[in-house]
Amino acid sequence: MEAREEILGRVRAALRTARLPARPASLPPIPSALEAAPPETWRARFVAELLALGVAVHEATTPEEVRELVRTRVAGRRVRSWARAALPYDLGATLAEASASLLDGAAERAALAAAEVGVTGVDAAIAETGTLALIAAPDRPRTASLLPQTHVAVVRSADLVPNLRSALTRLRGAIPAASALQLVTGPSRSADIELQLTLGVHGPGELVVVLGP
Amino acid sequence: MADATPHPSTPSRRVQFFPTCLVNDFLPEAGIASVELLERAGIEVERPRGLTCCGQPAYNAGFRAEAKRVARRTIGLLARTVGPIVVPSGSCADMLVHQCEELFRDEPDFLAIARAVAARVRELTQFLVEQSRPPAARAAAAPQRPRTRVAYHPSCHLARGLGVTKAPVDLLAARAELELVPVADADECCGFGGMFSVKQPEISGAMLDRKCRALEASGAEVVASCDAGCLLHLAGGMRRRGLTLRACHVAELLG
Amino acid sequence: MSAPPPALPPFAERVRAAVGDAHLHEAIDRATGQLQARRGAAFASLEAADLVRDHARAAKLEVLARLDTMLEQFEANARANGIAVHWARDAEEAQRLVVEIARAAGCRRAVKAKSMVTEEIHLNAALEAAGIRVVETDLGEYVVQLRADRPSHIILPIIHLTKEDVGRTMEEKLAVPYTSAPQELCALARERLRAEFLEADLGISGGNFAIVESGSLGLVSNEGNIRMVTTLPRVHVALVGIEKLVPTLVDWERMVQVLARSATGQKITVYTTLVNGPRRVPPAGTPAGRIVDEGPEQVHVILLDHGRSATLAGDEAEILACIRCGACLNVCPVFRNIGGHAYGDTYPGPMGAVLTPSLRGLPGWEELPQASSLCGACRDVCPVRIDLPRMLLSLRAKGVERGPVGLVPRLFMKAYAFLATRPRLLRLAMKLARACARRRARDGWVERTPGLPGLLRGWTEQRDFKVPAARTFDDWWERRRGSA
Repeated sequence: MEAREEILGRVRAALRTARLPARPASLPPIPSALEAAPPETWRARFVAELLALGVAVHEATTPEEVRELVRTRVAGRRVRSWARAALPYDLGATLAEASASLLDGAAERAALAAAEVGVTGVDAAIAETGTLALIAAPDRPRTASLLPQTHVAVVRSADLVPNLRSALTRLRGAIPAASALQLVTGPSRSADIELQLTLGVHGPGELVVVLGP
Repeated sequence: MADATPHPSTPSRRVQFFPTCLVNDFLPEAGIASVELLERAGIEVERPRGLTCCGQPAYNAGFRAEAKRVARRTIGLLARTVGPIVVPSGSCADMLVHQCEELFRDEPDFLAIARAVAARVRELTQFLVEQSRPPAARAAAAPQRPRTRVAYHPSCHLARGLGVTKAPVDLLAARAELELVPVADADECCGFGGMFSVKQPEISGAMLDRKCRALEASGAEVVASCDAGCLLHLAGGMRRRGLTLRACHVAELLG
Repeated sequence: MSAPPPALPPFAERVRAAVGDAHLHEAIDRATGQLQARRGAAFASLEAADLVRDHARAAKLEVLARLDTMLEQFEANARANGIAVHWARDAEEAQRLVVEIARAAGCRRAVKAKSMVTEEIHLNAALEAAGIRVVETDLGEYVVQLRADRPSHIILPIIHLTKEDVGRTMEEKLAVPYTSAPQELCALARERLRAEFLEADLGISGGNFAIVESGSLGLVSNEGNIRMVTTLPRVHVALVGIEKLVPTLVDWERMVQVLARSATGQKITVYTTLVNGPRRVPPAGTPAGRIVDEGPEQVHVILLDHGRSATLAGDEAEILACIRCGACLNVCPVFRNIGGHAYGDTYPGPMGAVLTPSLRGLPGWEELPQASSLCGACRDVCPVRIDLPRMLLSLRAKGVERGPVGLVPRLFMKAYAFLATRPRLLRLAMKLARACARRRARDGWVERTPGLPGLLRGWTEQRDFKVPAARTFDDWWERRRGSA
């Protein structure tokens, strides 16, 4: 018998005698104060969470300011980024000019490994936990937020959502078409050694968020 | 898990007292103090004849047939009475209230009887607080006498099984002559666990070590609990380790 | 069914070694104490925490109650995403599938994310035997691999090691100067493992959750190694126990919340990944220059039974709701005293004491459910409210039912039941016991003395035994009431 048929057969048989606790007929919905709060509060909460995670946060009131902040971070560095068209605030040109080298498309592994700064937008920014949601797609390469030691994430006000479930609602259409969804909350860390915190174990050790209008 | 909190009963004048095997044979003073406590609170105490054990030792060891024999008899004796059933032991009370539900799962007829008994069972301090009749102190403490420093040890079946955490503490705290001292990791099991104490002596001993260290560090003179098993284990452990801490049942301090 | 391997010392011996290990104690005590505190704080700050746990529990129970249809739906949805779904009845079949997948794709070098289920089926050994190099990439598991050791905690594999231990291991195995500074040790691991990530052609992971509705796999990590493993190599293989399903993305969101808070006290792990499938190929006719999606060319999920369907059939089915957070370990006084290795198998602590005999069969593992005082602290902290004490008890009952049970315990329990149902005989027996105890006693206590019988010996090993009272409560009562 095929493994699949045998396992499903065993499971069906098991369910006849399984001792499983009763489930409640229904449960009240889980409340969220943040969802109910005015959207203006989400920004402040987002920033507070990021700071608590050790993320460097730079706020900008104009697109030009955003570009300037990003420029200082990538000047003279090797950059790996999302595709031009996917980046917010017309950052593509800034990156091309300021960086020492820019990989924003398909690239050789060795070149990717040599990148120093990764620059991305986000598909949603979750206020409650300071989480960045990044869809993996052809114009949103995963390695931009993964390989370099520094990840600069550029967030628009419109990206802000209160919590994870609202992010999933917003991205419901995009998720099925994507190969993956990455939720990034702070820099890479480990506490495996005596529960002592170390940053930058495999993923980026430095996460920078530029929060624009 | 079944809801731990039974319905508060209407004020009672008479209760059935189930001493439990450990109190009867090893800590009779706890049973005596419990009865006197109830009587001073204006409650008439009856003790059904022939009561022995709730069946927990066999149940915990996996010997369900033996556990059923003992529990069935005990429940049968209690079922022939009326009124609240007060038990000076958290683990025995939990056995009757929750574990017998599991033990007699496959006997719906007897289960109905067991449930009816379970609904009447109260641990001692639980009962006293529910009745809102804290026992009157024997005599007011002389003001210049130093207060006795008491550490309360919350036994696991009482605290987690029955959900009784405040009642013993409130009763002790209301006594002018007692000073409740906090204990580090107070909620951690003392390591008795019934037969676990003799079948896994090394682990039980290691847990006992931790608890004794915490009790000693608390500066308490007395450790009080609502479970005879914990008390015997703690008393024996503290004596072995040369500690001067006494162990006694909460009822003895409320006398 | 798999009894403990012959090389494993008896449980009593493992316990004795662990209890006597001050070094282990210090390490475990410190770590579990901190984790407990963090968990407490994280749940205190979670809005409607109890309700979230209720929802998480309901989601898991729903999956188990309809596991057959859930598995079929997951398979269909995952396949629609381009994920290849395989089924493995046992460890050997799972190992064989991984090797076949690797061979078919020409993979020789694997990087592996931490996965308890791959420990359970001893996957690494099978891959090595097939000529496939496997490198663990979770920092703790990497150290475990260097030491040829086993993880001792399901969340913190090297909770039993000090930083000096780790430093010595790296010095010896990686030929680097000794350091015990965690920062430097991590930097070393990052450098070595970065090279492995970039060269590997096979990525192996487990799966924290398999979401039925979307046919995707949910994975969590803090280091980023799971992202590496599921992005860089050409082929990604995920091993997932059949019980790891959750119905919808909404349910997954709840699980993610309670998992992080329970395991490490974080609101969410640094990297929470939803794997939908292999890299997306741009449709035909796409203009040249459009980049290709990053990610593996192939994604495989192996659905593993290995004792789970058998567990589902019985009284311990509820253990299959476990989400492997480790909270029960951190709060268990037994675990805190004996550490993870003493449990002898992949899963330690209260959940391991139920899961191991359930998956492996009880023979040879009976002592695990015995090693508990049934304090219930585990049930209190379980994010999905699994009634662990109930199952420890049902396993004990199973052990007695199926036997073999030693003659002495059997006789003792028979004697107990006999006497406890005959109060007059019980009274006599207690008087006899008291007389015997008194002869060995000093000041009313029996101390540790040679030649004491069975249970009394076990008791007096650790504490003095109080001689039964001369006048029992019943004596007092009957004297007072003037009745017999």
